Amino acid sequence: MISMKVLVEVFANLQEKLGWASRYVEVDAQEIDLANLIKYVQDLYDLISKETGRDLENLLDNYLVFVNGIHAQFKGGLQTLLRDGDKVSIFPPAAGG
Amino acid sequence: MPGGYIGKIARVNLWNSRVSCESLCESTLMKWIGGRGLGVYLALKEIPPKADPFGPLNKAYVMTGPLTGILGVPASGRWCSVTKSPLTNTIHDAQSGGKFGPYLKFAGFDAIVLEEVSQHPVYLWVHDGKVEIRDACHLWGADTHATTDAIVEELSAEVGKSEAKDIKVACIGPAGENLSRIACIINDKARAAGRGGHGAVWGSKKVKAIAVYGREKPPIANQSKFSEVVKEAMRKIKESPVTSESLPKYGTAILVNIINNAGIFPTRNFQTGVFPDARLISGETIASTTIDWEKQREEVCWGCPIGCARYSRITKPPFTGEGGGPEYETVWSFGAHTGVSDLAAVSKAHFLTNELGLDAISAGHVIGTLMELVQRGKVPEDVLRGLKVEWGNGEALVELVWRMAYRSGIGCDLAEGAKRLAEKYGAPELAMVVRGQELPAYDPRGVQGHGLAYATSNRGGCHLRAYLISPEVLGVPKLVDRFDIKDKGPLVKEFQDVFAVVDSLVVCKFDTFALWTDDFTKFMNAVTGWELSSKDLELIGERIYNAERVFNILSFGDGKEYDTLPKRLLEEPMPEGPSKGRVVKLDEMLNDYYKARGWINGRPTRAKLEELGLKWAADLLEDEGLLPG
Repeated sequence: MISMKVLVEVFANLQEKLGWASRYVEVDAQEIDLANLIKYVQDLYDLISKETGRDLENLLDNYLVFVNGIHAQFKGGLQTLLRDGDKVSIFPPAAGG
Repeated sequence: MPGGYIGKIARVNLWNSRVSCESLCESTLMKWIGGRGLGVYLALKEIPPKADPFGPLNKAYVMTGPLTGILGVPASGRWCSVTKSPLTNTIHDAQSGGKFGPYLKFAGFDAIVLEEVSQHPVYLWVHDGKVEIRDACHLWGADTHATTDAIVEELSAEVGKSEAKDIKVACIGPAGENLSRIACIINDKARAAGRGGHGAVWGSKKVKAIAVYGREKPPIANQSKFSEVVKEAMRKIKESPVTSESLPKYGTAILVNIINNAGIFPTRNFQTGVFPDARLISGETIASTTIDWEKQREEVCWGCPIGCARYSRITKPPFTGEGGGPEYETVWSFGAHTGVSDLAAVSKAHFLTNELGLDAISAGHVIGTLMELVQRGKVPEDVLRGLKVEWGNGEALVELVWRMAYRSGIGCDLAEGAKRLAEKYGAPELAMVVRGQELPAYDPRGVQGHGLAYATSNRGGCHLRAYLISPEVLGVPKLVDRFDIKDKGPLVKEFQDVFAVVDSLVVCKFDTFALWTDDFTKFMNAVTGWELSSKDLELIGERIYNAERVFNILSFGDGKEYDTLPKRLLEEPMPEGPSKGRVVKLDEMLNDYYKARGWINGRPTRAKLEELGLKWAADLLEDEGLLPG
């Protein structure tokens, strides 16, 4: 039985490299942490773990990651617990003005 | 003369058509650098602070800096305009990219000062160390593209057809001629000294354009040191994914999805921070639909290794057109701010602002102000002449840009800017402005430090006095909590002072995504031959910021009363999204900021001014009874 569904969005060159912009990830659990959720998205994990490490330990240094619009760093980092209906947004480093 | 500078300024008295040249004083340059800093110094010395911005006593300074046009310094193809703003009554600088800045130096000048007013339209032909004043009656009324083409054509007979491509033109369009307070100066057809109505100041002086051409190269004092510094800076720019990949590929509009996701993308005149259709006007969408990559390469600023510039083409009616841009600020002002999600309409409005000579931020912003005034029943229907001014209407958006430039109908009110528009229609609280200048594309309720930066900006509502979005959202150089107010006062001060230096060097602020004070100090020393420390540069930045504040105090009594934000941002909680429930907690941050600055109630003390070598400025304040404490 599927217990939770999380929306994962990617932007800019991640969209180009992966060929998709967003997808729902379904997990048979009540909650899951950020790092483990990303491991569920195989192509995304394969792509970003090359730069950020097998356990994605450098993820937040290399990408801008929001959980429901808030920086993951201020939600619990890689251990941020995600629940049904949450949204994870991943951006490559960016700036402008 | 130190390296980097040509060593010469031209003063153009437009009333009696006289041009005089003067040399630069090295001790002054070591205190103010060039660009914004030197312009502010000259303005404070020369413009009576209460002067009418459109009158003969105001001056317009066309400035370069010691790094302008030095090949190898990343993003050094810029120039800056300094004047007293008709929009804000503040001292005001507007920075622009493109190619005009370096060519002004190649033409033999560090700066041109426009004084008095001309009796008829003129343009300046600046070449090979000379300034000629030429008649421009035949150009009056022309848009910026037609003006540029006509001047290049005229002058190509003098320099030869093969050289004509190196004539660079900065000019005003109909908006500047019609004294719109949000008119800009356009150079290279699509780069704008955008904010604060500098185009209208040129218009008031009847200066249609400045054309520059020449082959003089500014010297470099220490070539071997310079080569090392260039190598190191280029490595940093190449290593930064921001400057090496994101900006070149997606332009500044890569921010659209990020800022919208954070719930701080001002929508419908800051009524909310979430625009559901943001992706339709994002950098990703522009890069995959409307961009012309071949023309984009020509659009890149002189000497820039980043290349964020865009060139777009809309081929499907009704909004066909092409030109430089659009940028992040533009897709916001004509997009989310007015509720328009049609990229074609947004792009068309942007092309028109370049052609007609309007500041794209303020132009879109003021249309959003009008839309809210209409939403709230403040504007009589007959004033709109049947035009459906409502959120999301791309047709109205484009027509209003035309009307604004020509002061036609309601456009006459729009040309005055959001503050005067909202006051006229009885709802001043709907003007999202600071010191009369329209706020740009970040809702500060979800970025507290950025709110403080808006409130304390000497030139009015602006994201580029201190771009706190960088640490508060983008994590550059280091992420800080965007909702926290702790330590934001000193952080804003640091950014304001460093950016004042960057604007004085004159280089692009996008360098700061990879480089910081230490790097700029190394460049400065290698080019000029001076031996300044990073601390010295920070002090120069602080001096510039204080001098600007002094001008404003003398102009209109600037101080704590003006260091504020629109009521909506202070009292109405963000209604939805990740920043829901937030307002800007300004008062506490402001106290920390004043403490960091050594100011009392928004005004520098004598002790602070003397510490910065500005005793003479303290005396000016004291003479008027305006010194605090």
